[in-house]
Amino acid sequence: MRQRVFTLVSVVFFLLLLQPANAFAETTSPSASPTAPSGTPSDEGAEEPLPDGDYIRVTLTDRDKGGAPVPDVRLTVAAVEEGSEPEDVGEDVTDDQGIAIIETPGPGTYVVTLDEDTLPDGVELNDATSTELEITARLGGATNAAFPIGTQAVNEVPFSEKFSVAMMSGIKFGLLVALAALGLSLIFGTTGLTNFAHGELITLGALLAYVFNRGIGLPVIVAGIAAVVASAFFGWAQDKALWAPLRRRGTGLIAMMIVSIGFGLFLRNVFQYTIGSSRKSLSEYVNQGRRDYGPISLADKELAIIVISLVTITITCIVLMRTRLGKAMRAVSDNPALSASSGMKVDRVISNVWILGTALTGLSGVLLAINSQINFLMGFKLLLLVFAGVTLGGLGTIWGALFGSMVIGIMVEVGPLFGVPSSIKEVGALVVLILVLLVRPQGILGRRERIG
Amino acid sequence: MNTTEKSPATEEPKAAPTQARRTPPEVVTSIVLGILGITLALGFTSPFAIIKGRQAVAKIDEDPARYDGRPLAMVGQVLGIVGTVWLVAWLVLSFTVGFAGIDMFDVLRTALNQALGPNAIVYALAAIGLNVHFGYTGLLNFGQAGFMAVGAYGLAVTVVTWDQPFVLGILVALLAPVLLALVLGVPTLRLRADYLAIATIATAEILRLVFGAVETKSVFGGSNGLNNYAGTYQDANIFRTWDVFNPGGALGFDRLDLWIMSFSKRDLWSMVIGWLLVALCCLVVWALMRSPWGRLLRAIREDEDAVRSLGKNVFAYKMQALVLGGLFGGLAGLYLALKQASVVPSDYSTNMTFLAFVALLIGGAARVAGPVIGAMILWFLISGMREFFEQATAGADPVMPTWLMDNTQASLIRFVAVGLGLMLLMIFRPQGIFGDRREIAIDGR
Repeated sequence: MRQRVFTLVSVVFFLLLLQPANAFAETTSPSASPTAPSGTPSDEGAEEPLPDGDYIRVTLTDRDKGGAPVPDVRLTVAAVEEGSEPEDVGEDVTDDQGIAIIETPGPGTYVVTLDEDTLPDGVELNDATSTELEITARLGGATNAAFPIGTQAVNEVPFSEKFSVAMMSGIKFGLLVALAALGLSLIFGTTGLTNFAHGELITLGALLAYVFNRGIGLPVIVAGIAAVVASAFFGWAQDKALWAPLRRRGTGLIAMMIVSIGFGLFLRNVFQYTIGSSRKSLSEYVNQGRRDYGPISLADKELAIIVISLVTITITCIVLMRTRLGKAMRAVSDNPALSASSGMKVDRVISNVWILGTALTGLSGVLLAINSQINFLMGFKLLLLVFAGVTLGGLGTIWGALFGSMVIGIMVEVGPLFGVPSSIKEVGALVVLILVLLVRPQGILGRRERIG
Repeated sequence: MNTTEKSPATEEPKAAPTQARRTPPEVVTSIVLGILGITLALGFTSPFAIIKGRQAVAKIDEDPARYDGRPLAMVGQVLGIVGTVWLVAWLVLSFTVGFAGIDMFDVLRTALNQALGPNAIVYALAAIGLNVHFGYTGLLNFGQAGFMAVGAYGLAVTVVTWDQPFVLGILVALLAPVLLALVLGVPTLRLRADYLAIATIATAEILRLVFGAVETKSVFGGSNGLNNYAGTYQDANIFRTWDVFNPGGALGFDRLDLWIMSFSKRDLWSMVIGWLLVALCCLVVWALMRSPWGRLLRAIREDEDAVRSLGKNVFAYKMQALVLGGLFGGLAGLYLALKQASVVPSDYSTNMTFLAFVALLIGGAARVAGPVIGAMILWFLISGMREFFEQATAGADPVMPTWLMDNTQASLIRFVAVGLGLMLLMIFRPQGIFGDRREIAIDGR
């Protein structure tokens, strides 16, 4: 019988094959080429070596060295339209001839931006050079543009100074990761959920700050506070609407983890839907000069970020160590069933953990937004580093998350000084993550228990 | 995990059938109506396919000793549901939005093209690998994109960078994922499920970052990747020189039109190779999983400690499963590299792994055909949605108000839907279309 079904099925398909090639030809419009969406549905556009469509070919030369090509510099192209903000269309790194090829959607005006961090060591742009170049593409196909820059040799900074600068930015980055890691660790500790949507909670904080700042027009500081409050509310709502019902249904932890992947994918695309794929910045504190504090120099905002994160982390730790709420959280994380049977409202505690955890994570996003820029992928890119920090210290322990994140942050920023290629400086942290999992899966400060 | 009341890993003891079980005729009717519905009959027969499918299931459930063919009845129902949804959407939209707005034929054409085309094959192969890992063995591998990347780069680097023959490239492409599985597996297979997930996802990201780095550009080609290695594969395209569909007629045709679908010769060649590969992989999985070896894998998924206490080397079996699934993943990468004729690091992002998981979960884990059907349905839906919203936002006066959605946003809706779909699937039907709920390793330890 089964055989008969398959025969029938194959007959139907065979009939389809027998359709004369042109029987339905009029229904196939030649303009729509159904095979066009090639490759993967990934959001990042693939760069082809020589694109079929429109592209801009930028040649980057150093006019102070007689037009010598400048290789390995990242150029970003953004489309400019009147009345709207520039929208990123692509980026490329210049090759040995100083040439970068970036695909564009069509004719229009584009701005090419040079990433100063990718300039060769010991070279800086001189004052006569702008990092931006405007190009008008009038026709389809290729648009060629020359991008002359002027460079000047800078005095080779002594290693100790480079080290202290890298250390400082490492500490700053580590603290930002620590805020998010604290949130992840709290949620993991109490619910056991490995939240793959945690990166999106970072983005959410930054995005809300952007909306309150640019959309409503609040000053950055007020917008930041509002964003943290809104994040906390989102944490509460998220728990109430999604995770609490799942816990009540008795959904397994791995199922919840996969749900969080779906949730992350959903949020990420909603973010991109609302703000687009370009990088945005807040209205204040964008470019700040640095001040010298003894051997180190910091911009005011960087100092503020360090102080705010330190204070927040200290307060959180005190709350968790000293108050009733903290005790309850630790009790639930230790043994939910026992806590419930000794009269604690486990669900309330978990709800509080979600509020606190998401608020901390949101704050991390707000500070990241003030530190640099806002992008729909910023949190997702940080997610694995946050995981690395939490795992390094020990999943579910507060001090561990803190310690691990600082190590990861410093490693990422200081690594390039010791020969880690700067374009893949995150790789070191990920390698550490894997090594820790292998050698000591409970983390450095974690309790010894069998988890493997 | 509890294993007291159920043991799906072992074969059900057949209660000495007095007569051969047969498939009720409703099953056949349902499937035929379902297939007609999504093809020639434009959805009009689909509601009847659902009804017939339901009748068949009821009949089978009532007297399971006499009838079998329940999975086929489910296929009929699913085909019916897909067709009915399409019919309703098509009718509603045609009449509300107007015929001028959206050409539903175009949407269906794109969707069908993609569901049968090379992209679905890539994901089917990747999901078959994940099925071996997650579905049968319970290993939560979130680094399938890494296996695909080493497969693709194995070929490209051998041919382009090292200037070796194509055949050697294929060998390297098949060997590289095996090596990756061994290197990755030795340390990580002892880890708990969520730790394994993090370790594998980190590995895949490391590979992607290293392949795309400026510093390794001389080997891996940086962010532009590598190309010019697939010449042998394209030259072998039988449709280029020989008109299989019209022997004796005029040589060569530009595109093959199948009902409303249309494939270029290049795609056609890739499809022939690809579906052969998929069939081969399915055959391997089918044969292995009904062997004692496969039963042992499923036993590990159900209760690792119990298997260990029987004196089996669980680690070795997990490693074999990781290698086998990784090999399928590498094959997916190799195939993607061949059909696309270029390898670009940004293709092998975490999203690719996640989408392969979605494909697996739609079809149903721990079923041979699950990942294949899942990949086809996934591509049918996401490319149909893309086409639909692109059309709805195209032109000077789009159907969709621009404040709600513009043309750049149109391509994102499908991923929003995929995310939501994955959540809902995991919550309400973790076994997918064909799976058995008791066989999915999602309860955690």
